[in-house]
Amino acid sequence: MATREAGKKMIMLKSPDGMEFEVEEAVAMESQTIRKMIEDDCADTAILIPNINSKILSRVIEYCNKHVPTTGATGAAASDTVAPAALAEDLKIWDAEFIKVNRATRFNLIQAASYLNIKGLLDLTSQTTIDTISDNSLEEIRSFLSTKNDYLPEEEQTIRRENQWAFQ
Amino acid sequence: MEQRDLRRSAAAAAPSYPIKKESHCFSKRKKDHHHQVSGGITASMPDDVLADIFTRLRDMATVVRCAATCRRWGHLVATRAAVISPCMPPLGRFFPSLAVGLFHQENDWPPTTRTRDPPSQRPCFIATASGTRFIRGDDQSSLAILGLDGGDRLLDHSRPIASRNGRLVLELRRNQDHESDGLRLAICNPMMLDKIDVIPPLVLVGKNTTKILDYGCALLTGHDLNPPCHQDFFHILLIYSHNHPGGQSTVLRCYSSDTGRWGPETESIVKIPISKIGNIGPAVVRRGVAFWALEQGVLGVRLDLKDHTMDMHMVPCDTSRTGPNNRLMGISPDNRLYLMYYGYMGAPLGKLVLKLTYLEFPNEDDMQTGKICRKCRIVLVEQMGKLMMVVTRYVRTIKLWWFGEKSGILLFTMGEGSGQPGTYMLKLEENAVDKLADDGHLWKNLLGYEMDMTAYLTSFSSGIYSSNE
Repeated sequence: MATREAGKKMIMLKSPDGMEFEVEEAVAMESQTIRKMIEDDCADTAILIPNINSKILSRVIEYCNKHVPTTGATGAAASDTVAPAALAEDLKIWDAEFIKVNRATRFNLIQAASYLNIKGLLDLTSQTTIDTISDNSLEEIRSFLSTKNDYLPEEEQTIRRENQWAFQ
Repeated sequence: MEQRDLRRSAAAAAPSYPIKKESHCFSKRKKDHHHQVSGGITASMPDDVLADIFTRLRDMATVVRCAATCRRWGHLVATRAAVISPCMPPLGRFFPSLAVGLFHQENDWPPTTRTRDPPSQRPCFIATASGTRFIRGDDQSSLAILGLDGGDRLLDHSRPIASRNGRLVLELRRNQDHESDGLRLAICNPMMLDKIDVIPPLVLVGKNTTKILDYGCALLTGHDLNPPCHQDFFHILLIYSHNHPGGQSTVLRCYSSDTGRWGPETESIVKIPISKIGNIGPAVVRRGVAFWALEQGVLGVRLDLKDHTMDMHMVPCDTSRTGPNNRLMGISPDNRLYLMYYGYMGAPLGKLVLKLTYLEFPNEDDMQTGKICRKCRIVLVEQMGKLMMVVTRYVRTIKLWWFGEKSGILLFTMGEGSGQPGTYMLKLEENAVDKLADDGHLWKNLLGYEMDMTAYLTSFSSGIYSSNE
């Protein structure tokens, strides 16, 4: 295993488009999927992350870097003077900034978070989708998520009639 | 516990309970031919990811709108219904569409000494108007559960005993039952009929004991626990009379799916004469406590899941003016418990009304604090937009049978003397009555059935919305 700084284990993550990312083990282990690989000793040299391109993977690593417990944080390590509440508030602002991405990227992030099993990232990325579905009419859901309505008109009519209570 | 896995047995070479291929479930099922064509920008999202999002939606109405978005989403909601449905908050109001219909068994027990068997040996099913779309359209009476056939004709002579949260409890009876066979019960979900669980028989031991013929039964499922338990969980609570050398006592006993055994007898805090115990009727369950309406008041029974003891309390309540057939317990969507009984206003042709007397629990989790609320609600019962009138001299010819806790449906029958004989369902939310059958008052057993929300969501893949049928 590669070692860059004293005492910090590094892990190599590879995307299918050939990019390599060297990250601290603690950061990579934010992903339960990778944690399991490391714990099972399946992570000798580099881990290939299938289906997640380098653009998305770099964003996922960015998220994990920010969210890794402060003891293992890189660079500007959290000082003891910062209160936990302030830290949480800071993370919240950071998350809000982080999620300002286009829809395609967000869906890719949801998939990546799901595959890599990063609960915080999954909650964050899918919340917008949940809000969109919850707050809007059927037509709006379809247009926002560009979902094609493939029910026959008669079928949709029946569904609406029989489930009127859900469409009020 | 013996388990009859119907799907597996149907596929086996010599199934013990073969059922017709078409009737393996009473929802219509179609092949999934649509899957890949829809989904839009979410099309590339794996099912698991999308299903996870569905479990985190705000409420059931949103889930239904999702299912209506496109075929793939509808299919996903339906196939993951068992995971999605428990994550949703309660609807907060009655949902009459859940009431699919009623089961009835006209024949009494023991079977008559007639040499020829009566024409209908099994319980029959009658669908409600909204329920018909959830069952096979060609023949309403051929619910899969009633179409079961096999070597030992498991369900012949059986009668419906209790139904709640989508499950149905049946008492299995045979022509040649012996006392030593004990009381045999079975439980299933008629909407997702993949298995019938046959519960070990309850046999009383000791001198002077007889088979339990009359009893009251309460069914508790995983939904009744807080937090909700796994979906296979259930408890069956019985109240019956036990003859001892020293006399007769009223006892309670519980079967737990966790232990697979009947627990010990616990003496009831109230004695019920043996002649009246068969009329005790179904219980409603509130916050894990089963409540029965008795002559002396309302009996609440709480089961302790850890040490299997029972905690009982009687809320005194004047039910002297109502017979055992006229009263039933009910519960509102906001979890208020009430005693229902019918009455009439005016004579000799009176307006049929339903009176609801509420029970209050100042301390929600302590049923000992339960008391009768002075305010009661009077519901004017209407049929087809008109007040329902009955001949008040014959008002005894009305019987309340069953209340659906989720659908808010009350089933009652009226005999010849009422002037309007038949079986009726009252939608409590609308005060409106629908007629379900022209007879029913003389049936020995009648029990409503409401499906759970999981079965309701499953309908999105069963093709019931397809136009080409």
